Amino acid sequence: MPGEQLKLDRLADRWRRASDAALPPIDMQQSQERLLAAQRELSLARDFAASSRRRRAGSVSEWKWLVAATLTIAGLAVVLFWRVGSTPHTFTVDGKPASVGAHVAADTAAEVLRFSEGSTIVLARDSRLAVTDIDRRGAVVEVHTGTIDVDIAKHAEARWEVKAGPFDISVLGTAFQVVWRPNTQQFSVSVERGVIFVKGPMVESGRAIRAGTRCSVDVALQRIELRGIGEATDTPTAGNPAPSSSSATPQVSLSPLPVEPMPSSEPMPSSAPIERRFDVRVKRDPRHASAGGRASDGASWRELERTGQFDAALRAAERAGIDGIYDSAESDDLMSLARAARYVGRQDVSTGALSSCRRRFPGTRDAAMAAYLLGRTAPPAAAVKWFSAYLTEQPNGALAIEASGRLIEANEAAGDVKAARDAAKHYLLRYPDGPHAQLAKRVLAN
Amino acid sequence: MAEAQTSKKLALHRFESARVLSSLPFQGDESRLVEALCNGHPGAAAHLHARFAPQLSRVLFRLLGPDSELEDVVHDTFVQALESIHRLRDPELLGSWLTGVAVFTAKRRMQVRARRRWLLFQPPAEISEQATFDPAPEAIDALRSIYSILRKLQTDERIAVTLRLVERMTLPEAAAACGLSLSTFKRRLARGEKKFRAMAAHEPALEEWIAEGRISREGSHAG
Repeated sequence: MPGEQLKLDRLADRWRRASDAALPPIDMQQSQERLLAAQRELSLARDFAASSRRRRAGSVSEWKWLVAATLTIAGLAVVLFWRVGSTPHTFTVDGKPASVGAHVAADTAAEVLRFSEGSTIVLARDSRLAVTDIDRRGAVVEVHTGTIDVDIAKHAEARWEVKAGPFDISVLGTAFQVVWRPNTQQFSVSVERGVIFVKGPMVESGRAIRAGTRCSVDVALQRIELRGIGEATDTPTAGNPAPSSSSATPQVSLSPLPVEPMPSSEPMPSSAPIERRFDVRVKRDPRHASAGGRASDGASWRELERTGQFDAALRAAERAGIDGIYDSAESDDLMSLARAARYVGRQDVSTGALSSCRRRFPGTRDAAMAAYLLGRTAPPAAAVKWFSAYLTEQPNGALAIEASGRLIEANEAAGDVKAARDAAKHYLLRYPDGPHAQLAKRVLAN
Repeated sequence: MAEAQTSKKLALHRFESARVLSSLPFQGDESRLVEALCNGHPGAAAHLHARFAPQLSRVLFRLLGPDSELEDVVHDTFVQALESIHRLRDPELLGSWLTGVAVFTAKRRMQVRARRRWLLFQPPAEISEQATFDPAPEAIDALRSIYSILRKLQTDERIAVTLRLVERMTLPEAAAACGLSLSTFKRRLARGEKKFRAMAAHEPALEEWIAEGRISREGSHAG
């Protein structure tokens, strides 16, 4: 194999030399003049754009004001009717417009689906979903496999549906995470904010899941578990780092849960703190012994994380040496480790992995994403720093709108009124209809 | 209307001023250069061009192969750079950032050309005998074969192979130039190299270059 590489290197060497010899000469003077002409055109275009903005902002005479006001009111009425009346939401995947029927696969990196009314869905790597319907109140999303983080903007009429295998989740305005593994028939939903309503196996008549709760269902074993997010997970014992299924089910109910009615949209529960932790655990099943036993057999934490065995992945990572992973793993592996740690409530490992990604891969998209995630769990003053870092590094990034909104929240929570107002002004300039627009207006009004 | 005319005059005045300024040479380090570019200093644009045009032409030619519109692509790269220079955070990275812009421009170009070929059944561009400085015709044949193989790769794989093998970038440099994570870049490179190696082995025009590699390896073992 090294011989093959050497041959390739030699070939590349000849290729390089022949290519450089074949490079046609460039008329530098002509090329430079052309560039300067283009620069002048760019400059002119910028000047016109700026002067148009100034003109619009500062010098409309009175009668024009009247006409402008009348037209604005009429326009707003039309837009309001248009939006409330019949226009469905639109959405983008990784910044590119997409339409109903889109199948999204995050094979190599997480994908962000952003909906026009402010909701977002982050599709974790190795996950797939389809957007099967969309209207003016919400959308229907089908998770084929993997993990999604859903953040539904709160609107009075919002109505969303997430399907994961045989499970249906109805959503009003909330943030939650869904994990669906069709191969092992394991389902889990963790609610970060608000209330969702789940129907499916073991919850045939439906059940409301409230903020701070996780519901896990093993369809094959007919097991259901309700647990508070962030509750301690099973800790490995000496000599038995991977607990067996019999010792790992302290809160299992073997019978379906009682029916609980679908909550109405009002009143909604107050928002949970943004640093709430996820706790997703995949239980061991004797029938899955080969897969389950692999954790103690030395399967890589990476492989376990990919298959959704976050607890086992963390244990494997600790056995392998967390500090070593921080120092040597690639950026996407660090992001995966951080995600697994977040899901099992190991904030220390999550923060360590994200910080390592920032330190070792500055300027990359992963580093910017790490800043955003660090901001979500940091105290207000530090959160300001992280969200600002994200916005500096990815001003047009997939999460720029969220980071801008959270920057207002963090500044406000930190008691920095001036910075909060500045962030709010900036937000309204960029996202006048964004999900944090109301907050921004309130901050400016105060 | 009068205001619009006034602003147009102001813009034209700046246009004229810009023309005058263009004759002034730019002096300063990279951070001053970037600052001047952000402010639209024509002397800075000329300086940028003089300094980086040969490097970018070479990178683009290596990426694209024979292209009758190479000068246009170089121009597009500089214009793209002028438009987005304010996004450059570290002026010290100006050179590698420009390479990234060139990679992006070349990628777009490859995609457009592939679509055009598919839609209009256009044959791929050929290396012109006249435009070639290398007198050896076998080198021209070999280059033709190489770019014919590259056209069969996915665009991202093609870029990865070229940046790594010919441009001799390190993995992190090449990944950054492509705007990819290191692991994603490695995967694309591995796929691209595998395909490239397999196809190159069956290209008669590359036999000599490949054989040379074998001879050299044997020589190095002997030594």
